[in-house]
Parts: sequence; C-alpha cells; structure tokens
Amino acid sequence: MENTKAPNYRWHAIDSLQDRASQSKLWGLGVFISMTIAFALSSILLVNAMRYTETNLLMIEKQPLLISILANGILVSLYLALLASISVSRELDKGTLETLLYGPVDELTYILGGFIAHVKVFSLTLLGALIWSNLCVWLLNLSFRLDILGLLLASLFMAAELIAFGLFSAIWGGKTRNALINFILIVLFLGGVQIADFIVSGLVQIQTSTISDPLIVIRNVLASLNSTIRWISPFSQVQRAMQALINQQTGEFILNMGLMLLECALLLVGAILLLKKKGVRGVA
Amino acid sequence: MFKHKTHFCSLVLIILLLSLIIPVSVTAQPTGDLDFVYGTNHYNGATYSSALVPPTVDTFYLLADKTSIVAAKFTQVYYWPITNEYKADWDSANIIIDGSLEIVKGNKVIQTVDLSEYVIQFDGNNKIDTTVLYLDSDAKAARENYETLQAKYRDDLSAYYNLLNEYTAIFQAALAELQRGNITEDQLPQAPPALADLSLFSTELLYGFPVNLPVGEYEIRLRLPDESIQPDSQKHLVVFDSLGEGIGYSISGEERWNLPENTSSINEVIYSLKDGTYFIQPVYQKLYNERYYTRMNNPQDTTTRTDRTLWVPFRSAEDVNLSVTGQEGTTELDLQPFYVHQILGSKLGYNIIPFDPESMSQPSFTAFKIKLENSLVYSIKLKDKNGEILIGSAREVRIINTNRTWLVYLVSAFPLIIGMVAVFMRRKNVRDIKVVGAG
Repeated sequence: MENTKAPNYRWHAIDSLQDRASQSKLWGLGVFISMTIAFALSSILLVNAMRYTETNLLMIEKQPLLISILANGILVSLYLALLASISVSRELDKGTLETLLYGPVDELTYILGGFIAHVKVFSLTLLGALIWSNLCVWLLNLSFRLDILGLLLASLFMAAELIAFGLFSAIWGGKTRNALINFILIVLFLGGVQIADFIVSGLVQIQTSTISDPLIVIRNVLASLNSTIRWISPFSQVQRAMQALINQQTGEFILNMGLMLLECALLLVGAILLLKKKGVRGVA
Repeated sequence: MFKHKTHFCSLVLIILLLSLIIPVSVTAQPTGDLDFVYGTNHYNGATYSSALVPPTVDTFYLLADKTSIVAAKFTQVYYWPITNEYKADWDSANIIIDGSLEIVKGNKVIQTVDLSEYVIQFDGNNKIDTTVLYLDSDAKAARENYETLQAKYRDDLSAYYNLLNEYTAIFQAALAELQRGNITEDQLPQAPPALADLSLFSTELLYGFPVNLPVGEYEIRLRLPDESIQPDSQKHLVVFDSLGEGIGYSISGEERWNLPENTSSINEVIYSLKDGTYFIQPVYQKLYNERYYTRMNNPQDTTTRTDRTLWVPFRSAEDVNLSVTGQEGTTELDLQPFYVHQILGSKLGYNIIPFDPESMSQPSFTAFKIKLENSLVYSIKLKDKNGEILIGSAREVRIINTNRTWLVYLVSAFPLIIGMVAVFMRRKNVRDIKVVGAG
C-alpha cells in the first residue's frame, strides 16, 4: 500500500492544492479589483500629501510612501484572508472537505495548501505594489529608498499572519457565517483600537494640551489597550515594523517581524490541531 | 408635621438649584498646613530651569553627569484648577529644610549629599555658553563679584547721567552759538559714549543639594538632623542622558516665513516646490526620551509617552556655511541676517529683505537663503569654519512634480486592466477547449 502521508507525497499534495487554489484566484477578477481599490486608496493618500506640499510649500518626510504601502498591504491582505476563510468554511459547509480527506490529503496538507496559495497570490500583488511604488517615485520625483523592499516584506508577513488567522477562524467557526463573524469582529476590534489610538494620539499634542484635557484619559486607555494588543495585532506589528525600518531601529523591526512569523506559525498549527480534534463532521 | 417637612424639602431643593445657577468663583485653594516639596534647579541640556515636585508626584527626572540642584522645602501647596496643577505659594512660605539628602540604589545608600550654597550666573547676551553653577565658597565669591559689578554699574550709571546732564547744558549753549553763527556744526560738542549694560545675571545665594549622578534609577530621601526621615521625602529619581546629537533645520518658504517646518533626522527628505525660495536656519539639537525630558521640566506632566523620542534644539548654529550640491554643481552659502518689512496699508503682506544695520534696528532672523530653480535634487550639508562637515547635517532636498499627480491615479488602474485581460484570456481558453471537445 502506498504511504500517502510520506513527506514527498504530502508536499506534492500541498503543491497541487496551492496551485489549484492560487490559479483560481489569479484567473478571477476579484484580486485585481481589490488591488485596484487598494492602489486607488494609496494614490489618494499620496496625492493628498503632494497637495499638502503645494499649500505648505514644504513637506519633510522619511518615506512618503509609508502610509500608501501600509494601506495597500492591509486592504489586499484582508481581502485574501477573507477569501481563505470563506473557501475553507464553504468546503466544510458543503462537505467537500470530508471527501478530500478520504483521499491523499490530511489536515496539515489541506491547511498548508490553502495558506501557501493565498500567500502566493499576495506575493504577486506585492510585485504590483513594487512597480506602483517605483512609478510613483519616478513620476513625482520622490526619493528612492531600498527600505521600500523592507516595507513590502513587512506587508507579506502581516498578510501571512492574517491569512493564517482567516484559516484558523474558518475551522474555529465551522460554518461560513460563524467563521466570517469571528474573523470580521476580531479584525475590526484590533484595527479599530489601532486607528482610534492613532487618531487620539494625534489630537492630544503635548504642546497644546493641559492635564485637564478629557481626551488624555481616552488616549491613555487606548494607549494601554494598544500596548497590550500590539503583541497579537498584525496591524500594530506591521505598523511598528515599518516605522522601525524607517527609523533604523533594527531590534524593534526584528521583534515585530518575529512576532508576526511566530503568530502565523501558531495560528497554522492551531488550525491543523483544531481540524484534527473537531474532525470534518464535528467542525461542520 | 408633614407640611413642614414638605417646606423643608422645597427649601433644600431651591438651595440646590441656586447652587447650580450661581457661578462658582475660581480661587486658589490651599491644601491646609505647610507641605513638604522638592524644588529643582536642573540642567536641561543647555541651561538651568526650575521645577516643583509636589507631594502628588512620586517620580522626578534629572540629566546624567551634570550637577543639578534639589532643594527640600516647606511651602503652601495649592491646587490651581485652570491648569489642574499643584503650585507653590512661595510668598507665604519658602522654608529650606536642613538635613542631608540620601541617594539610595538597591536598598543601599550610595551617596549622602549635604546642603550647599549655590548661585547660577549667566551673561544675558549668550545664556547657553555662559551659564555657570557655583557651589559653596565659589558661590559666595561669585555672588560678591556680581554685587561688586552691580555697585560699580550703579556708580558708572550715575556718573554717566551726570556727564549727560553736563553735555545737555553745554550742547544747548553751543546750539545758541551756532544759531548766532559764531561756530560751525563741526564744533558742536560730542555726546558722552553710551554705557554698556550689565549683562551678567545672577540668582541670590540659594540653598540646595547638588546632585550629579550617572544614568540609572534611584530613590532619594531627606535625613533630618535628628536622624529621622522627613515624611513624604522619599521619591523615585530617574537619571537619564541624551540618546543622540545632531543638526536640525528650521525651514520656511518665502511666502510662509513664520510657519517653518523642522527636520531633525538625517533620514528625512525635504520635499519642496520648483522655483521656491526657502530660508534655512540650522540648530544644534539633542535627542531625548519624550517622557523623561518633559517630566524633568514639568514633573506633573501626564501627556507624554516613554515610547517616543523628542529632539530638543538647544542652540542655533553660527559660524557655519551651507554647502548646496545640485546638478549644476556645489555652492557655499553664508548665514545672512534678514529683515521682514511689513507692507503698509490694509492689505496683508511683507517683503523679506537683507538686513541693513544703518537703516534697520535689528534683523528679524538669520538664515541661509536658497532658491531652488536649476535642479530637481539637491544635497545640503553644514560646514564649520574649518570646512569640516558637521555630523548629522546632511539632508536631501527634492523638487516634487506636483503637475503629474493625476498620473498616479492612472497607474492605479493597471491591475484592473491586467485582470480584465486575464479573465478575457481565460474565457477564450475555455471556449477553445469546448470547441475542441465538441469536435
């Protein structure tokens, strides 16, 4: 009898799964629409910075593409993570995963296949982002810096973590509706705290505020919350990694990249173990 | 009985309502008896500042390896509702407490500092370079010297006014002679030379504990002469240092000269507009932890964060040249004084013109003037009087193409075009397969 669980066969199965899933994404219009929306939003942010310079006569920035690349990475990776979550939970809903697991596919193969497929698609979108960034640099006469590559790498790590989370939430939620609710609520919470902290921190300036400013309490609560969830939030980690890269803080950059990688691995292992524990029928 | 109770309740209600309507006057409320506080006269990286450490604050901050003064005092602390801060009413009580300041690290007293006399002096024309803290006998000598100079200045001033009065009388007489035609204008008497101001400033002879510690965290407490510990005197002390030094620039466009942008880091790029004229003012600066530095100057601050840094400019750079390298070559610019001439009339506006000492009282600012017209990319560096490039002074200046921003939107549409091509090709392939299969 042929051992379908042997590493080479397993790798072949992973490769086949990821190839099939990634091809289906790349031949569809969804990824390209999400990229276009992400680039359009990034363009709005960039052009806004240019308009500010026209009004202010000056702009002093380390990397004017930072916000654009961050926004682009978050939008596309959220879309792909959502797709990953939906594809797994749909297979669970329809029972096709049960059929698949009777064949030469086990839990590890299935999860890794889905994960690699979506990370691969994201990597290709990053290639688009790199071309877009360089075109912007050339068109607007911005300073070309190699740290753009680091920013894109940080985006890739964030996307990997989000995709792993999408897969985990699909197994955890079972049904498509539950999986999506779990995914969206957690992402909204993590992203919301991050955005609120960013806005409120900007509002409370040291030079203008006094200790009677009521926003300080809100800012302190958000800052405490943010300092706690920074250890689990991919948005916080990618933002800190990017900021560290631009400020040349190597330790902080490695720490946040490491955190994203570690959490990605934990979520993948968690998804595999959860699928094994619950079983295909138990999950559905 | 019930009726009386109802009336009483109504009365209470009316009083409560009135208390809401009548405005509450804002006054400084003393907290009671005298309070123990620490006052600091601390080195802030450039000169000396003072701060109050009220009983509500348990941690304060000082710079490392520089002598700062910590004074233990009794005063009346009051709460000031306008800024939500505790303040000291020094006029009502300002009592120095005798004893010794114990500095503790890891449950071990590492230093005992005795009360010292001190004086801080500086020249008003150049505060940063001339500020000196004198201790003990030096402090007494410095204060005596200051008082001697002050007395001499008073005498000189009196003599000067006498001379001026004499001159006025002689001048009036000479003027009468001039009108009669007995003398010419050249023969009019000359005014006595103006007396130079006494620019030395000095504090009184003050008392405090001079503290000079390396970077670290400590506990401090006041040991009284009877060997007991002064209640409320135990505080946490954080001693910190700057995280770096560099050159910062304050840059303003000609049309917005009083709204400058600051660049502190060498990694920052200055994006500007073509044909723009800019004024660049260089400053020496130090990098500090935002919370440590801000709380050193205001221990009651609650707005700062430890995960942020703060560049603090401490001196404008003088005796320097700006080297500007563009596509057409390198030019060296000198610092120049400028005068902002307001346009008269109801219309707002001004002209920035070179300062002319003969017709203008004093320059509005001193800066490098740069016009960006022949290149798209410039590199600027600051050189000292020996021609050496100052570390941390290099910046890149780029002229942005604001007329091409619409092309950025166009570029964003490329993925959609590629996607549509991909879908079209796939559909075509699928159609081909069907045709082949059918055949």
